[in-house]
Amino acid sequence: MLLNASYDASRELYRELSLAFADHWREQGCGEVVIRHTHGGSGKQARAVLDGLQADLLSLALSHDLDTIAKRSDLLDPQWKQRLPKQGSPWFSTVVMVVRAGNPKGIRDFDDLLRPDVVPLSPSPRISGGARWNYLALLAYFERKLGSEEQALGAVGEIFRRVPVLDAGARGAMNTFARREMGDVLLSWESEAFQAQKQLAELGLEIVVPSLSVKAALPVAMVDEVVRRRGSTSAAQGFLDFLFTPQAQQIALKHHFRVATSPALEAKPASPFDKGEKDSLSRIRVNGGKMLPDEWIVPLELLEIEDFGGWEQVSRRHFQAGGSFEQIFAYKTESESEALALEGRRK
Amino acid sequence: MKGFKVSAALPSELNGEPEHIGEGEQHGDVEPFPENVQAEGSGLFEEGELSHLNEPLEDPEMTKEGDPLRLCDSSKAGALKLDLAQRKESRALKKPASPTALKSKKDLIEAEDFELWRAPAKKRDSGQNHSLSKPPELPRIRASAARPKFRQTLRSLLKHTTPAMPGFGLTLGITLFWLGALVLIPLSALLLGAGALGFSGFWEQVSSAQSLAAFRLSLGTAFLAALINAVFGLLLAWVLVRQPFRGKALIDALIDLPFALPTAVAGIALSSLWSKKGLLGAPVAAFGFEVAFAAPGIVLALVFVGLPFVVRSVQPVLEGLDPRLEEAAVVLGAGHFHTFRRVVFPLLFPALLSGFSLSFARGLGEYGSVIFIAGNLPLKSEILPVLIVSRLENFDHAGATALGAAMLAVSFAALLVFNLLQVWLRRGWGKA
Repeated sequence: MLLNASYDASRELYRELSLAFADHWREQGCGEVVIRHTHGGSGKQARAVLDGLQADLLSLALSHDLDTIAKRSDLLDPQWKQRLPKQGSPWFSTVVMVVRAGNPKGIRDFDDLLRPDVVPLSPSPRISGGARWNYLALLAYFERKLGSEEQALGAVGEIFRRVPVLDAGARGAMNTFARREMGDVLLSWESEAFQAQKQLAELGLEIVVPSLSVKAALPVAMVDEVVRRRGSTSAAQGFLDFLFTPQAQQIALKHHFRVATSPALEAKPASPFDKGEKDSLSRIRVNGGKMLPDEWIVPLELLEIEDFGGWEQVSRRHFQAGGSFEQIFAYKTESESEALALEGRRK
Repeated sequence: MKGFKVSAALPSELNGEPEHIGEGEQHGDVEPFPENVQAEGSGLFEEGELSHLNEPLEDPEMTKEGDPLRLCDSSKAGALKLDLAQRKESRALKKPASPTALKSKKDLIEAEDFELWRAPAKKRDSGQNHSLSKPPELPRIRASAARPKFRQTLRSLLKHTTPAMPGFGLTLGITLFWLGALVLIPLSALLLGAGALGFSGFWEQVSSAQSLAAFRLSLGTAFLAALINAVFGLLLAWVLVRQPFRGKALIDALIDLPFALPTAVAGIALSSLWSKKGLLGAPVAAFGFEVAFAAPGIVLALVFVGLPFVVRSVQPVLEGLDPRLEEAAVVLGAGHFHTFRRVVFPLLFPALLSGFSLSFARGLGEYGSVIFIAGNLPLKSEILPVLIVSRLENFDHAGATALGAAMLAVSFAALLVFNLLQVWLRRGWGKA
């Protein structure tokens, strides 16, 4: 029996994977294995493991959470990334936009979020670890488009200041968007967006894939200390290896996670900000749930966390107390922030 | 003699009381508070009253003087009259005068109205005693029935005076152990965590604009919600206790639902109801009000989770309240409002305050329901618990514990004040 501490939005994926692995393990003649799950915010799961949760396996939303566990305790080998293929992340997701049926505001790419008639929605990057990717995706996009990080921060600040509700989690934000009808565009993980499209089919939500986004790697690892004590090392290692087999990758693809072996992904993504590409409708997925396993994939340019300098730096620079995200809200009114910007220019 | 100065301000005290003292009745009732005698001219009614009770123990002169008439001074008759009215009123209504009652002119007039109202009784009394200046059969106010000074309450709280129930040592030991294990140890761990930051780090965390805004929002919404709950909870309790109607048991059971419901469910239900597209939110939004995802939504959620506290605190007290008290007040000529204000409300107030402070404390720490209905926008609709969680999400334990400790200090201070206030009032009014 193994315990897998996983993040919130992976419930459906890991339920199917665990069953498939149990069959696989039996076929290999290694006996019965049952994998139980605990789900919660990625950061919360990391804190729980640090505080003594006896989880054999970790499948979290941010590699930073695993790094923190390795740094703050002896539970995890700091070199966990090197022990598995693909830096320990069997699949990844990316940040896309969810719009209402028929895309009434004509959203095509991230820069449409700056339009004054568009109300953006996102969970809070401070409370939800996964939502940090939303912030970084916008930052990467505008940095490429506008040329400098400073200007990009200004644009991202502009967008986040107009967010009417910063929900605590991804599913809460989806609920606020779909059920409470707040906002015109929801920033969401691709896997979550397709999941919502399927489950809220009656709403006819559409998914708009931007031309440039982030590669949100979803790392897995086993907790060395725990598996050693519980004698479950071989089963845990077996499960981790299983995640990189074609069978598991197909399951992940079915749940709308991107896997590197998919032929669609190997197609060269169109260059971002290419006018022809932007005007076409090929970036919009209306009914992803009914598509063939990898038909839903829209190629796009993806930036990894290393392109931002790694989580440690990103966290310090943007999300800690006094970081760039807090500074977006540092001035109560927009006139105040404008006055300050004016003053800055004079200097 | 210092105490004499206090008494001189209220000569009626000296007139009436030596009789009682002669009878030695008061000695068992009240503890002597020598320093109180020395408090000069504070002008508080009770202070004078209590100090003179203690005086004979301190001052042999008084007992020697014996005849109260010798201290009587016609120029002070007015004060005596007032005093009499005050005492009679307090006896009739089972409520001693508040120490500030005589301070304003309006109250003076009111007190005189009562004097007129009680006039026949006064005539009878004075007839018996054949003297206007001599206080006739002063209603004997037991020292404990008068509201003691706040400091005295505090003192007697600290000094345990009542005889213990059997096994006092054991029960107290268990109490302290239980509180220590369940409350104090986790909380001191919190303080230790915050202490790791050092003072400047702690201050930086607590005094940032976002923390202050979150503090303000948390305290403000919790206070407002508790206030709303106090008003409507009192009304609900009143209806449940005093009004007979069908389906009362059902309503009574409904009151407890907010206790049973997971707060997240409450938050989701409220936010769907009050969002701009919601059943109730839409009409309100038409008038330009925003409830969900703004401060009013937070208050709404806190009112919801805190309501049972007030109703359940007030209800049993109200049930135990003898309706004859109200009838007596009405028979004696007090109007409905007057009866409520002077008879019922003072008796319910300690329970109401306890319900209020429970509701306030609950509101201050509430997280589950609020995150779904607050917008969580920094500086605007972000409550302190959300800010703490966001610190934790950054693995910033020190920052989170600093905010937690600050919040703890503020709520402890608030609860302490409410509780002391409540004990103080209960000592005064609880006897009635």
